[in-house]
Amino acid sequence: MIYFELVALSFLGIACLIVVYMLFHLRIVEIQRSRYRKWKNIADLLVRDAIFSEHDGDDGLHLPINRHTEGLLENERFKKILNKELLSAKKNMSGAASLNLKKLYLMLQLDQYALKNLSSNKWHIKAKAIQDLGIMGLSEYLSKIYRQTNNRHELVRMEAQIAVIKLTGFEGLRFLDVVSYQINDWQQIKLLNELSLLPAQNFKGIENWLLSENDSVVIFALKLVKNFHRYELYNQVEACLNHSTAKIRGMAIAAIEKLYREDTSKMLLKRYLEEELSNRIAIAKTLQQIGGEDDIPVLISFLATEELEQKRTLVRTIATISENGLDHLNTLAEAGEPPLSLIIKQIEGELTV
Amino acid sequence: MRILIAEDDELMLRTLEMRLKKDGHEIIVARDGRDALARIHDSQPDLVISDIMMPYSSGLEIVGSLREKETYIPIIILSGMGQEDVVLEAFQLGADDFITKPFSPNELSIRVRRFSFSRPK
Repeated sequence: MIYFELVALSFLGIACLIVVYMLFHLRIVEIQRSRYRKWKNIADLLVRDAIFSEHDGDDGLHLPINRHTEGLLENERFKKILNKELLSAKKNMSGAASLNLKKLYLMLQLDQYALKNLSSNKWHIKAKAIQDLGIMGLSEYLSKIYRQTNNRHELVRMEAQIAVIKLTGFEGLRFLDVVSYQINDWQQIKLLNELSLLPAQNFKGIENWLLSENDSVVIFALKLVKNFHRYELYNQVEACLNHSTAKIRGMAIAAIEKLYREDTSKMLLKRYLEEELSNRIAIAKTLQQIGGEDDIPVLISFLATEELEQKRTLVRTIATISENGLDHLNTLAEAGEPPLSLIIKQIEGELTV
Repeated sequence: MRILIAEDDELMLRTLEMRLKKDGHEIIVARDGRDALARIHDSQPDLVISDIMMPYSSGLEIVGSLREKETYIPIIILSGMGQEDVVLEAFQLGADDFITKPFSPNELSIRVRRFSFSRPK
């Protein structure tokens, strides 16, 4: 009986301790939240003051920073909150307001905070620092950022490559001369997006990147040719169709579609049978855009393949490049038998919709 | 003019509010699309400024919903860079103007003034 009472008392004691701990913990969390809200309001106010001092007209930024705020600036957590708010505002503002935010950033020496973080051994801190300096447009730190464009950590490299484009525009692409690591597909999309925000410019270097030993650089250069319609590089792109890497040849097919000349479709058809499946399909799709009626006989000769995806793409190409495409297909001896008969019917249905 | 601003970024919301209040407008704020639709219904603003990406209901849904109503309320859409397709969709739905972020508060002020001149007295 005494043993049972002891166990019950122990449980009660532990339960009381847990409740006290939880109440204490909740109180601490509440204090932290309330402090965060207060600090965020102070940071917001500073940022808004900077934005609206755009009518001052002089070079300096005169913001009334009281002693309390000055003291807070020594606090790492507050600095992080302020840094976050400033960067968020900088991304959304332009003109004088944007310049003032940059001045405030420098005035509060947040650039020094970013530089300190840039030397961190932790990749995520380093990457964030690069991102911050890029957003703030601090080109004075370009050389420090540029060094990171070939960093061994993928995300540091990515942020640095984006930042140099933010800071110097197309000129920033010179990192492609030296980058030895692969630039993954996602990073290529991000870089192209960043470049699309810049005013069009006839930048230099693509011809060298098309010859790079780094396959991803060649692929990216082909994307640049395609997106920026660099017609003068037609021969270099055509040369990439002989590259030993199938992915590069595939990208060259996509790029040449945008630069096509009168004889491009004939040249692609000549390569068709030498190519692997994905590139054959890419050629057939490209011909949907640049092909003509006189390509139909050659395309029909390729229909003998057993591979259904290829057959379907070829039928679609023949049907779309000419008004008589479907008539050509229906006169074929195999047109009455599956699978060709079914494919023709499907494509016919799709095109009438 | 009574202006409703729908924006989920608190700092951006406060900045726009401050700028437009300075210009003498009466401001109603909404922090998400659902809240914006409710406030538009309750307060009948003269102009709506709405971000595209917001929780619950997007800026596009706000445009669509406003154009289904009998009373005409002009709408300015705030879009990010590279959202041209969405802006086009907003125009097709009936948006009146758009501003791409990043933008200057002065630019917004001028665009808003344009609507206050064209407002029926």
